[in-house]
Amino acid sequence: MHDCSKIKDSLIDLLFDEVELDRKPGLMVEVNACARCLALYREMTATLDVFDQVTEDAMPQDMFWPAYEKRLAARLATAAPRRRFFDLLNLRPLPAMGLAVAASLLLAALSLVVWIALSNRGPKSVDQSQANSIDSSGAEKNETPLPPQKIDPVKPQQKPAKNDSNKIPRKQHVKPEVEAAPVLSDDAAQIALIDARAAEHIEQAELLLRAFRNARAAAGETLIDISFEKKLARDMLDQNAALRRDAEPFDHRRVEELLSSLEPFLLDIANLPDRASEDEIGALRSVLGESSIITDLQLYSLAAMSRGL
Amino acid sequence: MERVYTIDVARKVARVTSEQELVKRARSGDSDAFCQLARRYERQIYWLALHYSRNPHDAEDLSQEVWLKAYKNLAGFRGEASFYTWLRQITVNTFLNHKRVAMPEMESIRMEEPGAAGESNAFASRFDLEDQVTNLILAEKVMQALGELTDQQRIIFLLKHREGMTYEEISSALGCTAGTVKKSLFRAVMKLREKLGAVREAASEGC
Repeated sequence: MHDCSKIKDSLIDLLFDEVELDRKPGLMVEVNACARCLALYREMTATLDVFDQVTEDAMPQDMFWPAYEKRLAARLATAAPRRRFFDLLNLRPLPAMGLAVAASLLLAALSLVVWIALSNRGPKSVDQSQANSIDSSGAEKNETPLPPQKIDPVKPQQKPAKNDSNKIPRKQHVKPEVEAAPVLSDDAAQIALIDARAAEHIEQAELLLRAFRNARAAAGETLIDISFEKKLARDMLDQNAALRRDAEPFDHRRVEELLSSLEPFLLDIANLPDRASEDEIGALRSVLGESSIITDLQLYSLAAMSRGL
Repeated sequence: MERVYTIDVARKVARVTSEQELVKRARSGDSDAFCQLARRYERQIYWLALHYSRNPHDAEDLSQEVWLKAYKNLAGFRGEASFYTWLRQITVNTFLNHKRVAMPEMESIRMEEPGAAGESNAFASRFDLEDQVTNLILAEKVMQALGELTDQQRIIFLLKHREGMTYEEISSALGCTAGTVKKSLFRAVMKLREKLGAVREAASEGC
């Protein structure tokens, strides 16, 4: 029993060649047997033919491509590809090799820990005994030097408690501040750093966009002087790209998305003349008014402020 | 016939080999090598971007964003699939993540103006001009139809019709079901039929 609605569902499969080979002949017979289904199928085929013809014509002429490639090359020149460890060694990232490298690194780390532990024992026996005596009191356990404490690069370090003055100084156990650097490789710390940089950048961008939106021509002038906004936008473009690039490896979507939305505005402002007419900046202003970019930037700034950034 | 086939296969092998070489060079930071890779596929990516964004300016931005992302993430290309398959996935992700800046007035797709400069146009007959006008109108209608689809429906249609991807490939690339792919395709074709059908009917009535 022929059912047009069922056949209609299958027409798309037929049109895009997604019908199983054994089902296709039967389906074709059924479509051909029904005038309505056949007409619909033919119309669909004709529609795609017209689409193909029209869309081919819509492609730019050959002379468009050299300029396109030039613009792309210019953008690529400012973007560096992310390098992986294996690329630096010019090796393929084989899983076995990855494991071997990981094992070697683990072994090296263990050796380092053992070495530090051993080197802390011998010559510092007196201090160690002092340290032990303090440890036994239970009050100073947090002062043990190993493992090194994680240092938040953004927040200021906590000042020692008042009763610290009673402690016996153990300078040899205190890690110098420069040794805090490896902790920065920690993702959370890097994200905090990016957040801090982004907060400042985004606040500046918000001010720039507001200034641009509110810029007016001086009395008796027809042109609006936006040279300052333009220069600022140019300066901020590089920083915007750098921040976004830094945020990408950490999947810091919020910052990435915000910076991506901001970039076209910076680019457009940077490309305006120093003194622009109302018409020249009107289109961009209207886009700015329609988009939520300023609100988004403001929300981010407020959130950053509440986090103490 | 066999000879032609052999030459064709040899060309394909040479192309793949040189592509691998280019990828290798680009991974080591050779931007010229990457530009050569881009030259091979720039039109395909631009075509997708143009019909996804329906605006030449956005198409350029979007397609170049794809290339930038590909360049930055080239280290992540393991060669398990072809370079183009990998690039196409980046394209899909870029398109769907792209927040389109609302333009005050959407610029229509660039088509050569009827009667514009060009040797052949200088001698264009009245019928050629009529064809060009019809094509312009059809192009507008195509873009309108595409514009009435959701971003996902539009990309599904382009991936299926232009790229020839299977339902499964599309569903896996977009993270949706094969059923959604099929429904989106149906809606896209029906929308195009509705828009283009009206123009064709009007054109045939005019004749």
